[in-house]
Amino acid sequence: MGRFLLRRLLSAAATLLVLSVVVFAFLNVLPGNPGRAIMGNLADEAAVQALNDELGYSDPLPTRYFRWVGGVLQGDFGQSYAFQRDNGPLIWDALFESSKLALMAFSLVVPLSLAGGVLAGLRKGRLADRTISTVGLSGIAIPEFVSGLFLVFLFAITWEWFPGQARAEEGANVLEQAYHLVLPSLTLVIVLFGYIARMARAGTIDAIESDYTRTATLKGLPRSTVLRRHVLRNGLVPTVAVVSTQVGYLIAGLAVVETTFVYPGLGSLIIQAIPKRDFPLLQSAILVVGILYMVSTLLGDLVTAALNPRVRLGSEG
Amino acid sequence: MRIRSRVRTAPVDPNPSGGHCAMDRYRRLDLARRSMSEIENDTVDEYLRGNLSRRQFVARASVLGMSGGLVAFLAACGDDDSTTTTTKAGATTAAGATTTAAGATTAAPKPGGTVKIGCTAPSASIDPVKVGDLGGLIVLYQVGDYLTFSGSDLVLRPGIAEKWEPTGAKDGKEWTFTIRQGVKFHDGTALTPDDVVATFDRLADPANKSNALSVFKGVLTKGNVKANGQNVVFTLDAPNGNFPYLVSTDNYNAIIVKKDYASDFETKPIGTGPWKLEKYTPKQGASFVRNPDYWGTKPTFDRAEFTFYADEAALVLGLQSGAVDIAHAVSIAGGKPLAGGYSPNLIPSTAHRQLHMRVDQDPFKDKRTRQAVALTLNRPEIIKGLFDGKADLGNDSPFAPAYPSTDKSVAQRAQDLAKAKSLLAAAGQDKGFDIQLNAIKAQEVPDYATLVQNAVKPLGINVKTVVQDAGEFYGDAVFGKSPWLDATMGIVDYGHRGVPNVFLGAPLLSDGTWNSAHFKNSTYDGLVKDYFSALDVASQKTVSKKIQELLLDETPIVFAYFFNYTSWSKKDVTGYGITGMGQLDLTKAKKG
Amino acid sequence: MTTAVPYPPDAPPRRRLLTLRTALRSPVFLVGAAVLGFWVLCALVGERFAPYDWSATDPLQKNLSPSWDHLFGTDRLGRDVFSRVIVGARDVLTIAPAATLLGTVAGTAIGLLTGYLRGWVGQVLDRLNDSFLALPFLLVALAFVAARGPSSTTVVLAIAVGFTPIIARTVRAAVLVEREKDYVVAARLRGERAPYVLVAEILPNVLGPILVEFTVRLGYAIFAVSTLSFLGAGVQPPSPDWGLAVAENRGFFQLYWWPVLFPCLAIASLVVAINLVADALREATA
Repeated sequence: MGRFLLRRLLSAAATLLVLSVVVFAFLNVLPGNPGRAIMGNLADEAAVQALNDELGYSDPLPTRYFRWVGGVLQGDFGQSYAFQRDNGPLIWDALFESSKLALMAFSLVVPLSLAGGVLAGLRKGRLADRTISTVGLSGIAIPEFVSGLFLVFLFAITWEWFPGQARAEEGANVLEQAYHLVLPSLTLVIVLFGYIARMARAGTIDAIESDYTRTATLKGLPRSTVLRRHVLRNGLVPTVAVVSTQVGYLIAGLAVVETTFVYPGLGSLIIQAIPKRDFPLLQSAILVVGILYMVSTLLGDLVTAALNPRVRLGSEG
Repeated sequence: MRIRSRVRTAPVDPNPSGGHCAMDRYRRLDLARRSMSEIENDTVDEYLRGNLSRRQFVARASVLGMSGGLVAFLAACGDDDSTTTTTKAGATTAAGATTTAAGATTAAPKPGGTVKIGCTAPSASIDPVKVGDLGGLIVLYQVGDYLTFSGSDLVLRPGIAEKWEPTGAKDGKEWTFTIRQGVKFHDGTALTPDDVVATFDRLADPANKSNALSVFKGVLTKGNVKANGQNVVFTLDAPNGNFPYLVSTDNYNAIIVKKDYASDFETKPIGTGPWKLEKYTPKQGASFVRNPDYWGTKPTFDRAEFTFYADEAALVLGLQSGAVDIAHAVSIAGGKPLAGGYSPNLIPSTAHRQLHMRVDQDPFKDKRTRQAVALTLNRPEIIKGLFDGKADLGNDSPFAPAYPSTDKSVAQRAQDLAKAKSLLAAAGQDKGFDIQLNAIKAQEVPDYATLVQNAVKPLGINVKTVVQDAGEFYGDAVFGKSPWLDATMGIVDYGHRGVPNVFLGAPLLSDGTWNSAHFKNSTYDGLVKDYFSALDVASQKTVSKKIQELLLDETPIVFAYFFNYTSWSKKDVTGYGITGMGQLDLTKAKKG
Repeated sequence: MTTAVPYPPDAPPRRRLLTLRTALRSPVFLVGAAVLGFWVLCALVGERFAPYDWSATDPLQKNLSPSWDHLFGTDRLGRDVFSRVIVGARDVLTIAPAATLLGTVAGTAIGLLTGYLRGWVGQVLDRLNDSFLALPFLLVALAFVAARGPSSTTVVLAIAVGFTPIIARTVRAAVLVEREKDYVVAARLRGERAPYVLVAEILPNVLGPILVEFTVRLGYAIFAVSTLSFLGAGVQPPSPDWGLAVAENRGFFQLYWWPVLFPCLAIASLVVAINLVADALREATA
């Protein structure tokens, strides 16, 4: 297990290094000029030039890359062009907000979709299965912005049950914040339910049809024991893997939901930074997303490995 | 000893009867005219002859610093729809079109409480020298004051300057502003004329790379602003008849800050304004507290909380969900969902779009081709479609109908497909052509591009639209590295200005830095120089007529419309005012 | 990262014809295929059947609610929403399949190589792949569009670039399983060269999961095209594209729901249809 962990950590570090180069190269070929993008077309050229010099945008590319990576290694994420303050607090604040939304969505969707998925798997081909699968599929199919706007229309404007905006007032308590997060979380639940339920269902079916379950049933073990000991445990393996990759989605791919609900999370931070050509903020925010994704995938792999020794051995082979 | 500032209130004729006006009019006018300068008399003549509307007269008179009382008197006599409006400065001027929400002046509001405003997020850090966007200037305005205030009716009102007038040779080369006494900065120190001098030296100094250089270049040079007792004297590079506008809220960088200001506004936001900045969080919001020592009308509310929104749809939702009391500066189209449930507050402005055609490139080398394109547009229909009619017709020059100096006798260009076809044929392009149209992704611009695309279709002109975000579209904003300036055909956004000077300069002068049409015409350059130096409205009009006709003929840029904005508030929120530039005056806002 | 692939493809070779026949008999597949077929038809000849010119603007006839004249009403520029929805299938059904195909071909190539090669080439490709996978797909596509400027070609490339590592991972996982199987070991022992083993031996046996992945990705590509358009980084106006239509009219949703709702229904029906087809195919190959 230790060797497995070390290997994974080393490969994650290597991947991050590649990622930093890729992200930097990718972003810095974007056309446009941050000073101009920030100040608009009516700003004086000299003022724009001055801003670019001040921002360090006028320096050559390698200088900028090493300044950035060097800083990140020391915990300094650089300065945002657009906000002209440290990226670190900007990113951590946004991440904190996203995490709240993700946590809320997660705590709703995971139990809901696992239960639905396992139920569908156990009742494969029957009405319950078909209903759950179809609902899940439809949820996946509808883009977040559509379901989000629909929820706002119904629950915020027509019936006024929930606020149409995700952000609670400053100093609001946990309950108020959760109340504001209901609609955006539901939007995420609609999308994620299908994914996770589908995995849970497939895992359950695989497990039921596998030899060891059949053997266990033939051995005469009670159905509930077979379910608990074999089906659930083995069926959940791929589910955990998927859930762990969805953490990456949840934290960063939230962009659309955050944009729709005006939520100051990491996704909307990145989306807003693109037209402003705020390269330092983009680079660092995207790098953070990458790190988060890797950490969650790693955790997912560890859980999978713990649940299923075959994977661990396979990875080391 | 504590000096309590005295709020100047100009006497507004309390008697609405026309008879009284008529009888009193000539006696008072005659007396007044003896003390007027030649330019001032000329302005009055233009007004009395009917060449200036009441609104235009008030605007023009305010530039020249004419006595508020006389202006009010004359304006009130002109017609009887004048209303009394007040500005944050507390000075009262008679004028029609204002944007103070209904009920502003009735009953003294109960002080206290918090007002919540939603607006666009500032796109950069807040520094008076550098700010260049709506979000930023809204924040600045709460904290700071300007020498003069340019209302949405284009009337100038006193601010830090109590009065102003052209001095010296009175040709508009020298302007003297009298600085109000008893004004205190938020840290308790008194404002002096030296602070004013330092503020303008800072803005005019090329070394500071101020955003205001786009206004002051060729107008004001560092060192030519001098304090003289309680006065500040500006000696300009060339005569400029509109100078008081260039130190008003229109030039939003020109808030008066302390002479030792050190580019640290976000940490030390010290101005003289009605609000003190309490907390500023980039891209999220700002909160302000009432300045108890404000020299003008002190705010009704104890606190003002601003929430910044990333886009307009979100801002509208914010008002609907009850998160804010006022959604500030919403486009006409964007505010539609609010109709009925909320109160609109129209902000007339000279903001517009420029559709340029490069005169140095095919297929637009021939001016007949450019005229043909301009003739395909059904402008009233475009305005109806994009703004529900809440916009002014553009006549392919920067002279918006709202400007006093616009010569309205120049015929409005209207849709004429037959003429367009024959012009195109005469230019040898009767088969039409394919052309790419680069448009900025801003509000209605993509829709405007679509309408242009459909309008020119009957001529056989096949337009391919490319919509680009601001970063991409402006590019480096220098020739050769900017779709905005390099595209053969493009649409760019321009914000409001109280005078057309900026619009006449950079986008159209031969050496203009934003000359996307690559228009080079020495006759035009000469005319613009004449216009800039013209001091009285009659001579401005003579020149502007020539400019309007020249631009109509050449058509390097299509100006199809000048559009308005709206701020929306909950129905019980009233009393707030807005400048054409978009500054939000909350001093008299009240709830209930 | 092998764990992330939930379906180790163990389908025995040479059963593909049979599975297709099974799939064809499934009602789910038929419903999905019918809806998909309808939209493909609209994309191909919709312009001829649309009651109005989808691009014709009439500001004086804007925001009309649905009526017999305009079945789905008119939008903010007075364009007929019904005609725009019909023709709106065109862009998305051109861009999404093109992007998915490109992504699948590139992903398959990379997946085959990384799954089979053990040397540094495999390692480097693997790292590159992982670093791309570490980024949410949507952000990669957004940055890509920002870099190249929005156009249909850019969207195709952006989505293909985003899909490549995902498909590569699926293929790689399948290859990792296959390469240990007897027939591959036998081929290697016979002294066959790597390219031959990859293309002639392994590829046919991993086609099943690739086909399934293709259909699943196609559904997601349509989702992605719409989302990119919604975020302003996709198809350009005045295209009648559905995602663009939702974005353009979203601000007026509560006043005029028709120019938003109908394109939404179109997007949903198309993606659900493709997912049904994909699901039926997967069930049949499993």
